[in-house]
Amino acid sequence: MKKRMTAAELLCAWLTDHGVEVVFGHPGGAILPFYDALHRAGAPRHVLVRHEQAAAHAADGYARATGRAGVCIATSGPGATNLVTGLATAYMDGVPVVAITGQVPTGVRGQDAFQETDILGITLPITKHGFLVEDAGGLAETLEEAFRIATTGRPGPVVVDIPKDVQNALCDVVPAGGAADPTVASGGRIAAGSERSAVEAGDAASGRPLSRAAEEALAVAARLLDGAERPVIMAGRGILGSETGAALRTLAERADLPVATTLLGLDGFPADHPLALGMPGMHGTPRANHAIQCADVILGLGLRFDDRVTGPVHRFAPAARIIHVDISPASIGRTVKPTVAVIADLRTALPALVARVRPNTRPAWHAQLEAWPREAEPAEPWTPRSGPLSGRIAARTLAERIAAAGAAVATDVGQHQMLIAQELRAAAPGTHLTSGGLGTMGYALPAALGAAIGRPDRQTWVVAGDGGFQMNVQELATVVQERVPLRIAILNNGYLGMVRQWQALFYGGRYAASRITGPDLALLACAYGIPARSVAETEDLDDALDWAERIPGPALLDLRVAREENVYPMLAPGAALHEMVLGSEEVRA
Amino acid sequence: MTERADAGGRAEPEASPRTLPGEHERAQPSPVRIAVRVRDRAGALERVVGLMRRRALPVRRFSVSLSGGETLAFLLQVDPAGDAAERVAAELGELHDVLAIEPIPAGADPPTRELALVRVRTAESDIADGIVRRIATDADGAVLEITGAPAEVDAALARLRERELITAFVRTGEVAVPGERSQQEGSER
Repeated sequence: MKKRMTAAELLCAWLTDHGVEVVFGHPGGAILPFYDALHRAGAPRHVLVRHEQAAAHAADGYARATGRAGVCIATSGPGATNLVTGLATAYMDGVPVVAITGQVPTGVRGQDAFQETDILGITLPITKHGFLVEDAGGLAETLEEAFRIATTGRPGPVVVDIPKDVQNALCDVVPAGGAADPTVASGGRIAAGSERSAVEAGDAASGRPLSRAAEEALAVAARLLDGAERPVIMAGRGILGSETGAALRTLAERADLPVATTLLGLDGFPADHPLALGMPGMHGTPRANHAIQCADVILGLGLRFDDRVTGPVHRFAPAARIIHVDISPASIGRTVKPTVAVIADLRTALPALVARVRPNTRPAWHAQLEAWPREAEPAEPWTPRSGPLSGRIAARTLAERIAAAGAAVATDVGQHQMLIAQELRAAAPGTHLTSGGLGTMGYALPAALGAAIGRPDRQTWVVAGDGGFQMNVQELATVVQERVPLRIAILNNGYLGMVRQWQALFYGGRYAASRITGPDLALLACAYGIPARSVAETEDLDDALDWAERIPGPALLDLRVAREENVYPMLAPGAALHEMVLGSEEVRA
Repeated sequence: MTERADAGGRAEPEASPRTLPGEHERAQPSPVRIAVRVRDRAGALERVVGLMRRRALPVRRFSVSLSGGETLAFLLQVDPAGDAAERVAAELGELHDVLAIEPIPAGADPPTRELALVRVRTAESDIADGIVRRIATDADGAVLEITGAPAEVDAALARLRERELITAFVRTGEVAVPGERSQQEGSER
């Protein structure tokens, strides 16, 4: 039986019926029909952020934590353009986000109407796809397609732009086959690749079947791995998106393959596993970086081989034959040219590879690896328990607490991000959230908000610097309004720390525009209604952390760490992975 | 329509005063041709062109034409060096609106055509010759239509140029009819 409803009502019903539990957004004129429908429908849950950038980051954090697409909502014009940084962040890291934007009415489009902007045009290079809904009858089909595009292949953001008059337009809806899913009776747009849609829907659960080319390439890859003396697996975010951490572990253990995990793949393989090498790249561990440079075969799984991981490409892994497995053909060969390219879904490629490789042990290779430290900085003998707090000690202590609690952590970008990445151990999949590709300051707080709402069953921490934290600090109000029990730790050194570090090391110590002052972050948190403490001494840290974990609601710790501490190891610009510097003395030399 | 993609930020070799746009390509290694079918909907053209720019794809030229079934037919001419053609195909394959990518193998002789409209400073009837057809005349001269394979169009333009008759011209770029090759040869999506 047909039912008539507005497209705005249909949008609410469609989201609810398709399992979207929560959306993150901010209202405005061109999206008001949707908000009115949402108010009347009462579902899905709406989280009112204070800035649309935070809506996109929260949807991103929700997606990373839950494995489901995150949804953000904004009005036209500035509301939509405020989403841009969040969408670019999700695009770079391959995170499924659907952004629904209001648009000015069709009749005034193209007239520079109030709050009109071409959000589809603006977001073309930073989204997987975008739709302008010109016909209310095509909305359901467009939403179906948008979510499919966002979540299949290499995931990413999709924009659905809906003019206000289209939101208000009535359309016929019939239940499909008696199911609850509303599908539009007529007037929908042409089903775009409906056959592919069905195939990919099936693939979403079990993985896309291997092509013959992929089968053959995997056979070659297995032979290379069997014959390798110094193999290394490099695992990226694809492991998390495909939920193949267990298969990765099986492969590594069966063939005795050491595993380096990129910043975005840190939670794809346990850092305390004997085969774990740690993070490679600019601030990677000596063991991971040296292993890669000495490797004779590298198996890259679900990563882009981006410049922060490889250093100069022509000096990357000079002795290695490289096997690159990725679901995106475009990601293969864009930077590092592989010996063997396997375009495949890890959900099918990894089990196939496990079946093909021979059980193996490589004692000589492990003996060589043991010569290089697995920790970025050793815990002993220098770990102080008193005196002024350092960023390293704060990060190490936080990482221990986070791991012990099985908590998730979202970081911003900069020194604290690298410290946490170096120190984090035993992170479960979906518990380490950071902006790896775009490097977005201000990401941590809203992303953690989304993650905590998506996974209320586990503790969620924000670790940020005092610079990045202030870029989306207004979301403390959202945390309070939504009663999200975030634990927030600010590594406050009064600088844009990583900028200052580069200025200290490579710009003659000239600190141009990297010094930042105030506010008192604990007082600021209190102004928002969040209990807070400041910590400056190492001996006070544990007590403060106990307090933050104990209280029921959100809590903020303003950790006043050493002002001019650098993060090592690091690579100087142009240096190869094995040329990392381990401390300031080396830099000066 | 034809675009000079210049997507890779590379300056195209300048045409000498004695050559016409398009002719300089004959001095370079032949480009690889890739036929691409794209779903014709809002933003599709912009997405394809934007991807060429953003990824610095080595596309020398491209033409785009309306095709049947609400699709656009692109014909790309890609630098033949290294794996450029494979890279272009892989990157374009990421776009959701791209329906099919058909690299045209080296040595193949695809049925392609190009249209040039040429304004000449004479209205004499003997100007029409072979593939050159006079389609309009006025007091300043005539407009000629030249349709044929790109090399034939080049040759016809060269003959007119030698007689110093050309005052203005446009050419569409090379177009091919998509879907003539078997799907196994392309990456049908």
